[in-house]
Amino acid sequence: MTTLTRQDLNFGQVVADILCEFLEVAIHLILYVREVYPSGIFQKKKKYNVPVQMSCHPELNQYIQDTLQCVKPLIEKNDAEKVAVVIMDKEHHPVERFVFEISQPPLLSISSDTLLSHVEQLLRAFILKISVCDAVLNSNPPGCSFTVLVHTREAATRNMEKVQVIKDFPWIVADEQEVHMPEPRLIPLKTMTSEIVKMQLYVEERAQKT
Amino acid sequence: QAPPAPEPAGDRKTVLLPCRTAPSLASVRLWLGARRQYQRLQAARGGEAS
Repeated sequence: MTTLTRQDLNFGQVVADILCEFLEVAIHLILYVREVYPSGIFQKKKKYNVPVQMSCHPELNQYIQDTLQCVKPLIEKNDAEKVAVVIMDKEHHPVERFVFEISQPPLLSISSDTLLSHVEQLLRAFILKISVCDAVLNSNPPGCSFTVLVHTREAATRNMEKVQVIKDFPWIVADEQEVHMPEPRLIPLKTMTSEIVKMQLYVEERAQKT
Repeated sequence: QAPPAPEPAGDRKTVLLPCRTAPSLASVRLWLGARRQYQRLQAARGGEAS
């Protein structure tokens, strides 16, 4: 059995790679399950050894990839406290927020043999929870759109600036209208604790959606 | 009781979002319609060839 220490690998990078790959799958699945886009643009694929629905719309796929590429440096430095997939109504008011609360525990050493299979198993449970979450959520009004919010610290945004200049994908500070949701209903979906990352997923749902 | 110490400048919590918006539902529907039409055309051509 191989034991790795912080010196052997850039753990932040490993965690960021794993999480961004997972967030990409999760965003596609949320958009499918919550019917933000027509089901015809989604195709069944296998991720984490379970079937998931992934979009085949090139522009949408590129948008999701660009978004996550900008978020990755923040996750790498443990500066992304939360990543939220926000579904908004026609007036751009949030109706649902899928919040991924992320933290990286202090790491002493890990076993490389069990790490990936263990993390994959935990992430699979998140995917399964997302795929059935429509059972506990109310229907969204027609014509919804989505965006991704990142909760971070002002000082950390410099890491992001370098990437957004390269990708021509600028980010701005969200205003109150985009963040505030009156009387949200909180639905916890899943929590995981592994050697490299702790993550919690919950949904905030607006009480009155229409 | 002393008031809580202010957060250091530049280290306040902030929420960011991309300037660019995701493709609109209308544009995605248009793309899907065109794709289905193309697929039908391809299938019809395949039928003619055989």
